[in-house]
Amino acid sequence: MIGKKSQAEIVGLVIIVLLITVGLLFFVKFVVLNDSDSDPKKNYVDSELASNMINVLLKTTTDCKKSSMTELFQDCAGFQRIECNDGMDSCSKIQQVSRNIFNNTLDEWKKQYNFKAYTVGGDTIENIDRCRPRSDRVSKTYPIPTDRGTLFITLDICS
Amino acid sequence: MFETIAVLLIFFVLIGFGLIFYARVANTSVSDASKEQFQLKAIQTAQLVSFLPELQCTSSTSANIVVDDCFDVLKVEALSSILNDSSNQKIKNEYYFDSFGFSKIHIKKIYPSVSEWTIYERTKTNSRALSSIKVPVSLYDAVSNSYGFGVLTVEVYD
Repeated sequence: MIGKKSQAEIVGLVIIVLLITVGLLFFVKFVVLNDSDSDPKKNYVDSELASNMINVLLKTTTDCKKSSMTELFQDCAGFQRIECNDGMDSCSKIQQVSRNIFNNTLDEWKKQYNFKAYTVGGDTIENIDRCRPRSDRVSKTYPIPTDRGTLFITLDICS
Repeated sequence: MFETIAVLLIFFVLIGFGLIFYARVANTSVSDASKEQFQLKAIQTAQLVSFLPELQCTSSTSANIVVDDCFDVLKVEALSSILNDSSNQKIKNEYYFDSFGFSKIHIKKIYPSVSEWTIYERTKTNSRALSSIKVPVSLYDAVSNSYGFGVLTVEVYD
């Protein structure tokens, strides 16, 4: 009789342990593994944003002799022949225009980003880093041919 | 007897906790799915606007070649004034409503100068924007033959 009672208690314990285990599994699945950063839709939106942002930025006509940003980047990475009417060179104009645009877009929308323009040789023309270290990022890179090799324009959208 | 009641009590308490937890997770899932639907609607509307012939830039060499991510400022001004004209409410409420539904489509020029246009706006009273998407676009000015930097904002309402 005593043996049967203790067996029933063990079965009860087993049920309780099983229920706790199932509960923990639910918790791990829905709370711990519910990582919103791995959301493919967010990745798609960030990827489109990075792509459009660079595409539109490079196409933009500046007030520096009506040159486009692409032309200014090419000149800055090349022999720097362009001098704007306000006395600025192409590199300073790039900085002025790109900072103005990023301040009114990604900064205003509280998006973390890293905008970088660099040559194969390792010269950096522009670098605006607003990403936290080791954060996940969606990146788009546009190569631009210049007199001194290829210039890469990269925009990372971080989460 | 007392032991059996205690065990059953613990058992039902655990079951109760499980049910409460499940209900909360299920509720969150429904809310997430609804939010996702509105986000998808915003993306879909932004895509529709991006490829709207009423706004798109065309190449200077051929009107059949479309320039990507670009709106013609003259077209933007024209469509904005047509849809905001009270005599054209039928076009807005019938033709464009089928495509855009309850939403607000707004374009803001950021560089070189600042200007804004509301292309389409139709909301219910006391409704709130449930999802919003911002897309950078080029704004081509045919008069000065230059490209400005703008942002297309699409807000979807419930």
